[in-house]
Amino acid sequence: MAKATIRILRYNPEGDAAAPAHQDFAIDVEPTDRVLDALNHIKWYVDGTLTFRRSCAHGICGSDAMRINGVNRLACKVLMRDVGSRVTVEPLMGFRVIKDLVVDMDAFFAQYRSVLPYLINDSRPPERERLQSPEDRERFDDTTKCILCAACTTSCPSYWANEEFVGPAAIVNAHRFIFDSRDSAPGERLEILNNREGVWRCRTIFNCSEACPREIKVTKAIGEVKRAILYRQST
Amino acid sequence: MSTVIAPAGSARGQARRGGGYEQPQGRRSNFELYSWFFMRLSGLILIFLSLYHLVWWNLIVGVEHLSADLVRERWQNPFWRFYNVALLLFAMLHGLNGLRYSIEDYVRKPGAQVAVKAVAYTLILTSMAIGAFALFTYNPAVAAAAR
Repeated sequence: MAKATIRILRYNPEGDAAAPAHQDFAIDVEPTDRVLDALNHIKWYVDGTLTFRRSCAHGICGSDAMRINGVNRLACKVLMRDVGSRVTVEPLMGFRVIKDLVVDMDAFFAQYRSVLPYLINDSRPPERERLQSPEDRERFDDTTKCILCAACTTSCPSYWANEEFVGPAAIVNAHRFIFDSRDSAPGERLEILNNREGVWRCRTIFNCSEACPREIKVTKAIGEVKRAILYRQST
Repeated sequence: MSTVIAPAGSARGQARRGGGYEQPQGRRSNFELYSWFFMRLSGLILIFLSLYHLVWWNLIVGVEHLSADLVRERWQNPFWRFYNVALLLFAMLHGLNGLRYSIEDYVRKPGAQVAVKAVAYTLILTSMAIGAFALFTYNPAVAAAAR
């Protein structure tokens, strides 16, 4: 057991203090504890009013994305021994804070939905599954890994500056279907993204690629969508 | 299903009657696409233009040997005149594009954005025009007489 200080940016819309403020919690942790374990410990044994999202706790559901020591991470994928004995935990940037570490993600999901993130194919379904070669599957393999945690979108300075920007996560999920050989509407998605608030608001800053807990090459995927728009326009 | 809330004033992602979701409603234009493609292409050319320019004047000729006579001699060849005009125009256009990005990202009021853009574009396009004019119309004889 070692002592650790967890500094959390708290905000309570119903409290007396209108402004968000940091609060320190000194607790005992194991080096192999995750930041999520530390937050759970605080919530269960120190201050039950601490509010944050978490669900699977295994890096799959994408609920507990937050800013840990200034970097967007999943609290369930970061070990205490890797962040030191003083950890600052803050909500994701660019979203409205509802309470403590819980942010309003409605706009994020609205932007996600606007790029048609589902298979479109009006042809008659075959008797069994729609077949695809391993090579065709490989083409969009990277972007299938997205868990919609919003770590990429909320690390993007273009998104901080302009909430109308569709954001990296939505483009990643459009990419997943644009390059799927079974899908018949890539043109429709490219048309949606060929917009000032679509892929062209991306300034190739690479924050998204660094922030992704699934190690998706987000900037590369956005670049591929940009090129696909160019090729489509020139044919 | 609850109504999907998009950023204020946005049509993006709002539930559409009869199913589906709204997409961004902007002017349909390929300006951003072509601008991006031009920047990619000219950026690549610019790297070689500026590298050769630097290597030639600083390493091969050497700063200590730089003189007005040398510059004038090189200027006599139309190829180098176009080379220098291309260097100037591409560099300025890339700077202007960066400035446009910053203005569009951070000057949020539409009126203010138009005003700031107008000032920036005027300044940069004027200096580009003056630079290109000087490079093309420079007359060594007149310059020598003026000395």
